[in-house]
Amino acid sequence: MKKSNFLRYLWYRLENSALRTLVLTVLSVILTQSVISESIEYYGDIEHIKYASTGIYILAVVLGIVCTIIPMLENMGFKNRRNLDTLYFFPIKREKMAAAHFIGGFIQCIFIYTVTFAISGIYLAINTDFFELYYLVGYYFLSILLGFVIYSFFSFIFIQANTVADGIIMSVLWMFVLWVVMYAVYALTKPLYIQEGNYEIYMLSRRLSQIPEWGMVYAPLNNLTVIFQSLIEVNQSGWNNFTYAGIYRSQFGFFIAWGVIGIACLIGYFVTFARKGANKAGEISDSYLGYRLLIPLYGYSLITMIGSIEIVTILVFMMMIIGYVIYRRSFKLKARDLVITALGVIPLIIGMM
Amino acid sequence: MIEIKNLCHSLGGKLILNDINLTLPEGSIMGLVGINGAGKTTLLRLISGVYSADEGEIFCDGLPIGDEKARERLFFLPDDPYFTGHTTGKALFELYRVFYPDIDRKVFLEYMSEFKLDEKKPIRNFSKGMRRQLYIALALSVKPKYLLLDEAFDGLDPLARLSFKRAINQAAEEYGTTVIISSHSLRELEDFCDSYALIDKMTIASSGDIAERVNRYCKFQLAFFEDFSEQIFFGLPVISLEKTGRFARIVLEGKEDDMKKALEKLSPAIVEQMPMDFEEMFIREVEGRGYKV
Repeated sequence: MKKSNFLRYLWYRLENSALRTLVLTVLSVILTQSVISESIEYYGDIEHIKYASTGIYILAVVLGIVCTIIPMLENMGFKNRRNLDTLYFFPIKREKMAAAHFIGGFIQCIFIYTVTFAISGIYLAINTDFFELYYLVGYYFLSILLGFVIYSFFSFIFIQANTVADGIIMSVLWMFVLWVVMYAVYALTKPLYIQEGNYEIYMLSRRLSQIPEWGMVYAPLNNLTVIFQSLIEVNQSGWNNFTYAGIYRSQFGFFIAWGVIGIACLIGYFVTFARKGANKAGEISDSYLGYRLLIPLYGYSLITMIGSIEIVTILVFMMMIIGYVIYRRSFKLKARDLVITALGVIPLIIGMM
Repeated sequence: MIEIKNLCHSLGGKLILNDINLTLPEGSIMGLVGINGAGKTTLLRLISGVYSADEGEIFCDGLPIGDEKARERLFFLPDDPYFTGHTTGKALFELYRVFYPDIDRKVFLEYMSEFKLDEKKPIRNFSKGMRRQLYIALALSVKPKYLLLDEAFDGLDPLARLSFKRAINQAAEEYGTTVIISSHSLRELEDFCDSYALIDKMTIASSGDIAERVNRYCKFQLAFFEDFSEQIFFGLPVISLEKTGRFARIVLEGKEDDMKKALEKLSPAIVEQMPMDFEEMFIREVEGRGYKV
């Protein structure tokens, strides 16, 4: 049977990224083995309390890194107009081309993670007998789901940009934006409780204070790792593991929320890919989810958090201006940019109240 | 057949092409001409599917250009194709084989050998002309039904131009390949294009058979016994006139014999007919459209 263009292109992508995948796999295995081999050593036996760890958090680190880098590597080619002249005339629909890059990239992530995970699991099984390693099976599958959320998130953000540099900057900014915004909201509500003793606002403030922890895209994977690490290391009596695990299990809604974000990003990636004109490549990144949104979000949130006129407040205003210079690639800013920066006075006044 | 109907396209909010209507019959070799920035490259990108048109439609053998089956019949060679630092000719061939499984390796190697290119060497070591030759070898080994070439002669030395023109003619004869080629080398286009389309002021200003179009004009050199006024040509279909003392060069629109008779009535000392070519015709066309030549 004749293979479709999509399958042939997917296979071509995988073949062409084989060396890169191999190098990343070797680096990941070296990193995880060096961490795990140290973690499993007992480093204390005071009053019959043994301290040892699987060190499997390093697996989450590996998954987080590859699911951040590979979407960028897979989509870099679409930021060059000359490249698009070649790629977009090929007889394959844009959606299929996007799918080949998206799926191909995620297969690379899974490959790197699976090999690293398997070697780590085997190493732990051979060298330890005091961990509940069967939990690793559940951890593997659930972590891949959360890795997919990270992968989908960065694919979507990176495709918003029109240049590689903007894609990297926007990805970094999106990593922390929710965290920053929620802290700003928390900073606003906290004094209300202190000043007025309003219990409801206090509870709201408590709930809001939990959100920043979950604001980073890596938070679900991190928290899943904490849950499973505590379960696997339950016999390590130095830790009150079940309690620790229970805390995060009670915040199950956040896992669901990030799952929804992941699916939304997946859809957004394909929609953006199909709609984005080839002429945009290399141009100013004018996506509504790019600098246009991020500069005021960061600026206003930081100004709110500071809440007073200090040197650092002026620095934030200056950072907003610098942000617009980077966005426009020119010192000649638009009046709109200056107005948005000047409007930072409003959150400053609110923050000071 | 490629059909373009009511095509409009803007870039960065600026209208580049407006109400383009063009039909390219099978087996023809069409030269796409126009001044810099006229929209030739944009039109080729639209036909090849690189850009999606804002308005209007493009059909390839009755199929919309967005259709994979339509694009399987096309090959677009951009002005400056992309390659990464370590890309070799062989690697490029493998990429094109993904989308054109029937690409002919034998033909590719034949052209590589004719152009004296090593498929295992990184393209970054190639000159612009050599890179162009490599992509031409790829294009011809795909044997596409429609070949779109942007600034095709750019970077090619005279010998390479000759090989290239020969190869295009061969493809047209052997595989019935229909070619659209944009270039500023109008003399080169005239050598092997049978038709042309002139883009001006965002639309197809004129199109048709090159020979027929060129034959609509005739050029004469005249010498008078004494200085004369340009007014003497009043009433003649003058396209352009260059006067130097008692001498004049004039381009007229009309049949050669009729125009010669009309000029002889002005009693010049000498009336000599000069060859009119595609480039001359192009210059006169754009001059007639208000451009300073």
